[in-house]
Amino acid sequence: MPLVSVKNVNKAYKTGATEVHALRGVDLDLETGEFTAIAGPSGSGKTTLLNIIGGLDTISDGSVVVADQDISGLKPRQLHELRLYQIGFVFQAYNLIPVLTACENVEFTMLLQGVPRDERRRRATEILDRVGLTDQMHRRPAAMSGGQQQRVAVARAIVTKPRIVLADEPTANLDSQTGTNLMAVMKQLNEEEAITFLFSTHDQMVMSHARRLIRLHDGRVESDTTA
Amino acid sequence: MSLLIKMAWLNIWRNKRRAAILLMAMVAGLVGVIFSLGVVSGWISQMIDTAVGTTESHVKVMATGFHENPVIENHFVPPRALHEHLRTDARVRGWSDRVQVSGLLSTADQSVLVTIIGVDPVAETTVSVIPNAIVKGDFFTAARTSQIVVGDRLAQRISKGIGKKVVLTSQQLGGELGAAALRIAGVFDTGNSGFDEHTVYVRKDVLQDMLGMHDEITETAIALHDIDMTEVVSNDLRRRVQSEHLQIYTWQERLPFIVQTLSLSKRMMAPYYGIFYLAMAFGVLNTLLMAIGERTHEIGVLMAIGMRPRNMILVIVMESFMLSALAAAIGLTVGSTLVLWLGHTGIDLGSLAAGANYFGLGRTLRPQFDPGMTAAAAVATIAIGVIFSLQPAFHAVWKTPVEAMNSRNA
Repeated sequence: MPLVSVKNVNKAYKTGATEVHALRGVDLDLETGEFTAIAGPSGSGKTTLLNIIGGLDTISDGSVVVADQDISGLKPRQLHELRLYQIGFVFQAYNLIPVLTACENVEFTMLLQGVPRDERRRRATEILDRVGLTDQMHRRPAAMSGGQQQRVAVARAIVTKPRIVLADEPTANLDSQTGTNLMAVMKQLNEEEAITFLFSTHDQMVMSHARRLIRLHDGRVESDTTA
Repeated sequence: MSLLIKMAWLNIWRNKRRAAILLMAMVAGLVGVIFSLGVVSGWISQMIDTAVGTTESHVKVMATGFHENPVIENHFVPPRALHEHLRTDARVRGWSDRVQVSGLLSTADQSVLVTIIGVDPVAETTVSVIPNAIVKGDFFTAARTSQIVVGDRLAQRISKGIGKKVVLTSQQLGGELGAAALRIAGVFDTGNSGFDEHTVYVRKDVLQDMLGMHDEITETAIALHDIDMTEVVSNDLRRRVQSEHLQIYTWQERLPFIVQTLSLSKRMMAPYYGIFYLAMAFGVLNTLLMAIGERTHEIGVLMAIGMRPRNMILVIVMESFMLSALAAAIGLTVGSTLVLWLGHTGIDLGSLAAGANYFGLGRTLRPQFDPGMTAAAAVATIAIGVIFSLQPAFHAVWKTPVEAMNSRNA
């Protein structure tokens, strides 16, 4: 059973009288441990597809199974549970909590899971060390560079050991060197921890790191290649 | 949990100026409420003290009919059982047998209608504020019996000072006119100009002689240690001293105007406080809606990473609770200090004093600190903060994570 199974998914938005088709009959299976990029131009449906897999958005038609759960039939509370325990998110704009330190940001999802304080602190410290931010632990996001913030975001996403990490254009706001470093960190975590990564991008450098590349165009899968 | 509390606290101070303005508004509102509570409480207390401490007392024993028709024909001789009971009742601070009658105070060039109160000077000190309100001379001296104590307003009106002679005239028991020439022994100032201009005190035996009375009196004024025991003590007294010739009255029964004024003032203050709190509530609502509107995207992200709506609501309500609690603590400190300080120094009513006299106030208003009501005002501030944060809190989690993340502003 694939970790993620997307079958004939359609997604349409209504803007006034106009209906916009963001996804048209998308089929996609993702196995545990994959390091996959979804590429395509703006408006091709990359973010919509990630949001649907992440249980953040609904589908118009088709089915999506994530971690053995058909998410189209889940109630809001069950979707929260799925996102909290099975999925990690990395956003383009980092989206850290500005009033908390790097360490507290990483602890936050564990707090929501009810992990005891000492255990949270131990695991947050360990994961920040893994992404090379030991010396930035007690800094707030505003005092950190974009690359450092995104590494904190990655640490936050993986610290709960989710089944899959969804990263929406994680390098879009970073310079090329910082982006390359971040990809190296994510790839290392993928290889060493067997964490499944699915990210959207239109950055060639990111695509070159991916072992599998899915190209979307006008909401359809244009190609699906494995390196 | 501690991280959520920290997050809520730090969220408050994201926009320091806005938080400070809301905090100041809530503090000012609470200080205003505490101050007005203090003023009303002080006013009520002064009004009661003035009335109870001068002509009235907590409980009065009178001859049947004197309350409705205060003439000396409605007199009584105090029964021994009454004095014995008063002597043994620990709740009683003191009592004074009085003769009270209307009469004329005359000098060579004018006459003034006055209320003449005949008292035992020693007993009167246990029930009345007058002996402590003497500003010139004494509340009678042992040397002479033919003495009179007058209010300062009356002394000014008749232009007579200590040692000067005046003549009191009133109708005797038999209907004849009785008169006595008396020298002014003391001048009192209660701050109540109406009372000070129309009340005089003489020795009870002098007045009884003047009116052709023997041991008869018109009332026994009883002062208690605790005003709240008035009802209980008066009921006990009614049981102990059962006589068809005697009636026992509480100060509330004697002074229905004050009781009605107290009731009216409480009812009038309720909408006033309501407006205060409503303004505060809209301040909280407006500020939180703005603050949460600015954080809509972030709230979407938090829900995306697994934060449950109830936790999000909890954080927002905690923010409001913390800010309200801080405002309550500051407002409580400032308001209480202000009331206690003004209660000590008093507020000089200046040109308003004449009007204030009508309401039983003197020239100085002393706000009174009411711990129960003050605490209730502080709790109400916190409650307003919490209740009016619920709508913005629920509004914040109403959107789906994607809708929230896609809106930069609400």
